[in-house]
Amino acid sequence: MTDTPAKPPAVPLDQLDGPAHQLHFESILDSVPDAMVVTNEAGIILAFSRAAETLFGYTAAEIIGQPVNRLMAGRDRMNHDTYIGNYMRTGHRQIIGKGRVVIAARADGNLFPVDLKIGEARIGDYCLFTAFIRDLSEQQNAERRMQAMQSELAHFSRLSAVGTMASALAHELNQPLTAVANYLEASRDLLDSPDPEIREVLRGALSEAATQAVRAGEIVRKLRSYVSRGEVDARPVRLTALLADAIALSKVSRERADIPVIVEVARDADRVLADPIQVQQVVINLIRNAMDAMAGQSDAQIDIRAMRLDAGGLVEVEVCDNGPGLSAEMKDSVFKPFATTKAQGMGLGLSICQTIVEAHGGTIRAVPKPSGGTCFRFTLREDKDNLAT
Amino acid sequence: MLIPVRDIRRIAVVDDNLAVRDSLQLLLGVHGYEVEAFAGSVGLLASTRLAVYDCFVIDLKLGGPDGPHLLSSVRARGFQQPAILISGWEVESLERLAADAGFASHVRKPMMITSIVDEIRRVLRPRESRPPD
Ligand SMILES: Nc1ncnc2c1ncn2[C@@H]1O[C@H](COP(=O)(O)OP(=O)(O)OP(=O)(O)O)[C@@H](O)[C@H]1O
Ligand SMILES: [Mg+2]
Repeated sequence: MTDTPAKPPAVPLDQLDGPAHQLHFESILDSVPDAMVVTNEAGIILAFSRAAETLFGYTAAEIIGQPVNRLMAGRDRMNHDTYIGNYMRTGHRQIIGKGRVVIAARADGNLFPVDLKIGEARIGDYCLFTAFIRDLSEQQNAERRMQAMQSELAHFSRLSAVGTMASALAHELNQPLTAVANYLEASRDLLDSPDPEIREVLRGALSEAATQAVRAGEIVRKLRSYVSRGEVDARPVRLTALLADAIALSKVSRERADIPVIVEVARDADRVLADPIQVQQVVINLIRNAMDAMAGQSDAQIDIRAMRLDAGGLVEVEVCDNGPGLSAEMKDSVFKPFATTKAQGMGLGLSICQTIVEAHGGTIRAVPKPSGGTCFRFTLREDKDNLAT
Repeated sequence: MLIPVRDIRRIAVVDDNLAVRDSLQLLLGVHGYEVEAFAGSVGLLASTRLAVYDCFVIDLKLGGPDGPHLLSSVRARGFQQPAILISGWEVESLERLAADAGFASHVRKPMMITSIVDEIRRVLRPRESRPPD
């Protein structure tokens, strides 16, 4: 673009051509599936779609008339003014027509990534900007979940029959494979068109198919690297050190990493026989479940205690939370694979815990805490040769 | 020839997996359908335009209420368009499950054996064999 656009005056939407226009416009705002925000050249919001209300947590009535950068955060908040200003001055399309990922801010102050596309509309002399906004946080969650799942599946497969895990694996593989199948079917149907635009779509579809195929391959590769590991390698370890590592790991990429975790290991309970990597996995799963259970709580706290049992040469470790307790439907099935109440859960965490603890010769159970919340208790064999002195 | 045909058919796709949604959007788009994709039940039920879809394609397991549950909510609001259940979980009785929940058809992921396009065509095709009365 070389010529500079004329500088049109801003216009409030209700001045657009009478009631018929307005009605039509309102029905668009109600029905457009994406969040849509219309501003004037000064960045003042003139219209706010129904989906935008849901996404940002503002009502149209509240936000209309406000500067659009209220919806953006940090660097993007500042840049936006510059972009629009530049465009109006120079006609240089830094943002118009292109999709960009920016960080948006909700009414409650939460930040989240979005895909932003801005179009320009001229109505008579007036110039309006229409922003279409797509929430990307779901997409990022999916990626994070994938990683979490891969490591959990991997640990699980080390220890238990591949059969139980196969069903979960099949499902995770089926998603990218479905995408591959669809992209390839679409490509086949586009193949004969000489239209250059269609060729572009075809190219896009094929590279998406390749990406998804690689993803499927990755799942298999990660899994393979773990399957061949052998038996439990229980050796003398210090429980305090093991717990400290597990607590640190459990906080990696978690939203509620700020929940206090209090650890109390009795002097005569510190020496146990364990495969530290595996028992860490048990503690990590229990901590993460506790974090999930207390997601919305301001008084959330996790207590981890270890004590020596009188009989049997065993040490008992408990991980307690002050969450809502096990739901009725879960009471008898928490340790079953794929039993979950979480939208993003695999229901594998506790079944992995059980497999690991039992392979160590111990047991695990859930007990309700009288004051509210849940304790998970598991036993390990004490290290008789290195008892505390 | 006997039945007036609308040129554009609209499909609502509900699946919690982004790659599946995007790829279905392209595939069905290539076949001339207008597609709207939703990540979950809430999105579809929040749509004010349930009436405009000619067909629903719904994943079995969704975050929140599952596919059959979603369809019964749609039906409860009085919408009777045909629906297809898709699933990546190896549920043994997917046929039964789909039929009991009122789906016209089902497709197992990864959709390599049965084409979703064929299934949509099939459920949208008016009963041809019905004798004229
Ligand atoms: N501390 C807890 N408080 C309340 N409920 C819990 C707690 N720990 C587990 N649960 C319940 O037990 C279910 C199974 O837990 P499990 O760890 O096996 O799977 P998940 O956490 O749902 O998924 P993931 O495979 O990601 O761990 C959970 O969905 C939840 O309903
Ligand atoms: Mg868990």
